[in-house]
Amino acid sequence: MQSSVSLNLIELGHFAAYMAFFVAITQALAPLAARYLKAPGLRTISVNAAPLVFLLTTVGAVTIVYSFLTNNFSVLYVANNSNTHLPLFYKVAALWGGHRGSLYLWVWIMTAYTAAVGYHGRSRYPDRLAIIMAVQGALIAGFYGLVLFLSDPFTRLFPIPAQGQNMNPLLQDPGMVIHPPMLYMGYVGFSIPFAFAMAALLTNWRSELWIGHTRRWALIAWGFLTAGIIFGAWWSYYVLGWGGYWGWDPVENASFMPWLMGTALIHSISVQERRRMLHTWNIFLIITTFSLSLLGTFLVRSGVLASVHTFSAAPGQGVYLLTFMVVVLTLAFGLFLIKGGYQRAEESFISPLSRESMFIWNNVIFTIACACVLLGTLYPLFLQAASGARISVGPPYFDLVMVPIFLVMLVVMGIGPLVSWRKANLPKLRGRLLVPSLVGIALGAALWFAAGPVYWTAPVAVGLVGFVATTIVGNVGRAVWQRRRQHHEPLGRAFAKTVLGNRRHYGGMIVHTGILVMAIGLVGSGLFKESKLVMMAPGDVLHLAHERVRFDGVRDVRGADFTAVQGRLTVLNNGAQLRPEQRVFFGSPMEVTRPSVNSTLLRDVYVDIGNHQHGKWEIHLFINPLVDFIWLGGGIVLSGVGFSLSDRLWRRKKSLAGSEAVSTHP
Amino acid sequence: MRYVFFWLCLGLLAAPAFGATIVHESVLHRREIAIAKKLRCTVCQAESLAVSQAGIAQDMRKLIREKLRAGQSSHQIIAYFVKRYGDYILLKPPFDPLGAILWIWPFALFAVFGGVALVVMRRRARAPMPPPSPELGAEDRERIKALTRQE
Repeated sequence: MQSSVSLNLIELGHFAAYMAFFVAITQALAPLAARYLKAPGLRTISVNAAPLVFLLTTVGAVTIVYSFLTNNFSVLYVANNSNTHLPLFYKVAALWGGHRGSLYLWVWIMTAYTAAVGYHGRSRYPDRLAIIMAVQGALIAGFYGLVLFLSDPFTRLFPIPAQGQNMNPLLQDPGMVIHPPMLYMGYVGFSIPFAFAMAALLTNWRSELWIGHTRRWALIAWGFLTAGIIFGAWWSYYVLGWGGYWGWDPVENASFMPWLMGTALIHSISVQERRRMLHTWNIFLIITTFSLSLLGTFLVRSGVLASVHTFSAAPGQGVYLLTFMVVVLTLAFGLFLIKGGYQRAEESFISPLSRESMFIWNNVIFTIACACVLLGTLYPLFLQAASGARISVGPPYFDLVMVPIFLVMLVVMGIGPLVSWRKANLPKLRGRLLVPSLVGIALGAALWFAAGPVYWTAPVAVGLVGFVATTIVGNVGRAVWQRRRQHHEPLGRAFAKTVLGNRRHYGGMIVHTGILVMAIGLVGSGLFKESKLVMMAPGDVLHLAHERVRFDGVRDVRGADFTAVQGRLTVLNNGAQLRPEQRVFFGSPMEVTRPSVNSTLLRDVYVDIGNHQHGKWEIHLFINPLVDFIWLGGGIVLSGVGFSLSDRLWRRKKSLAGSEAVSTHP
Repeated sequence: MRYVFFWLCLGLLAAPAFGATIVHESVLHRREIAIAKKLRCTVCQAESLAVSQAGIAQDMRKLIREKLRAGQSSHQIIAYFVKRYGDYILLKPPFDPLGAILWIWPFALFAVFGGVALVVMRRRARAPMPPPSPELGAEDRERIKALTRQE
């Protein structure tokens, strides 16, 4: 009886999704209709359609989740990605645990963003809102076409199997539950600046009126994308069992490229706000960033690259996505070429050495970084398609090319915030750079002597981290000192007032600090990692990098939907227990290793267990220094983004309080 | 003096032999990983031999270890794999007609983008833009004067 109810519900969801598709088309076309029928009133359809599309898409998503929860295996997607043993937590997350559902999640997030912009814009930019909604509607309709006609998550299955298969075992991890929504909120979030830019180009919208809103939406998207990438790395580290977190896998690169351009964008926009220039360049960056989001989705979802992310995709989808991408980009860049110069810069550079020029260098370096990743990722594909020759571009290439670029980024990151706007005062700048440079050189030299002969990047990177950190401390310190002198305030109060009073700037400084903390983690774990692969009998002790690990034997364990051989090891230095597993999941032939990690701030002891032979087990031990710094740094980056975004809310509250004060005391 | 020199030369000549006998297993392991990191697992997507858990990757690593024990250099071992599998196995593409663009690209980007940025900023800095508003006419001056007098 219950199953027949859920049968009805999934059809309701399917119907809702089709309705959403048609409403989205209407949303896209309404302003055009308004224009050609000379009925301006029609434009409001776009604005009003947005929440409806979101609501209908949500109905679809809820029915899919409900089908998972009720084990409705008459739905193909549920039967392929779930079974009765799957834990409840993963049944909900199974919505994006497979290819079809994850595309649906993409669309769902996009409708949510669109509805949010619709709500946000009603009072702030009502005159252009219809066009923004129309652009979003067109993108939603385009993706809905893919979802409904080529990878329909609502497809039914007859005869109904008694039991489903299983969610990809590798994806059954909390990291994997959070990673896709975060990443998609990043990817999709960049569609909002894109829609703003399109609306601006189409209607000659003065840049001052929209660039501020765009900055906030871009920053939100950037924050989510950052979180998505970090959670992806986290998952890779704690689940895949290869002892690393970033492998320059094409799929990782696909998410890293929009991140790089997005980073350039959020820096470049602030130049436009502050100095009223770079209008055209910013629109170009916005379009490029969103293009790379689409490219990322195409690379991952089309099956061009096979990896754990691609599940199994039907061939038509790649063609559809590619066509969609080409159409969107042709229209966007075409419009940009025709009307890109609609608003000229109102001011110009005064000196090649100024804050704005430092932002330009930031943009140059991030663009180069992105272009390098792009070529390294796509060139093997092109080469194989064009000539059949197969080459590999892997971690050794990317490390060699990207690490120097990252180091240059650190240099600019340190100097940039010290240079004043318009024209730098050279003696003053030199004075400000003196102490940080000395600190950096001292730290780099100290590492060189302490760690012995290491790869050159280690002391240089650590020196640069010290350099940038000192500039940040100096930057905050000078401002606090100045305020203290002017207002005669105690130190704590002056600090709070300074930092809270300019949240955008100091939010940025917090983000920079987080990046530095991550950099320490990357250097430590990237260059000082040690590993050993040995056969161990129970009772054996393995020595590696001052750590001693004893193998105590194995045990068979059962999970909700798997059985596993569990290795039992003890870290003798601190008594920590390690429990790596070799899991065999229900309905899946492959064995999955699940590493076990003992983390302290300074080092991770990371263990995998493998095959056994003659009473000995294969133990893969890694000592990864400073990995926690990466997660810690990621947290600091995100808190900095949040702090920076709290700026507007805080200002509004303050101005409200101010106006009340005025009205109560006439 | 001549004998000292003779023995010194002999000692230096023999050094590799001594070295081979005292190479520690952990040093071998480190060299094995260094080589494995440069080679791709042929059945996996974008995974190096050092990372891959596939059976063939394990076998190839065993082969690397055996060759290292037999005293082959890293170069020899990598050359062996390239001969068998082609350049495809190298995760770092070589600088040859096919791979050259990958190595020229970053430098070209730096030259082009850096150059353009520098030239544009210099030129714009030297030739400031015209003031955004037209100059004040005589009429405007009169009005401002009148207004300031009122204050």
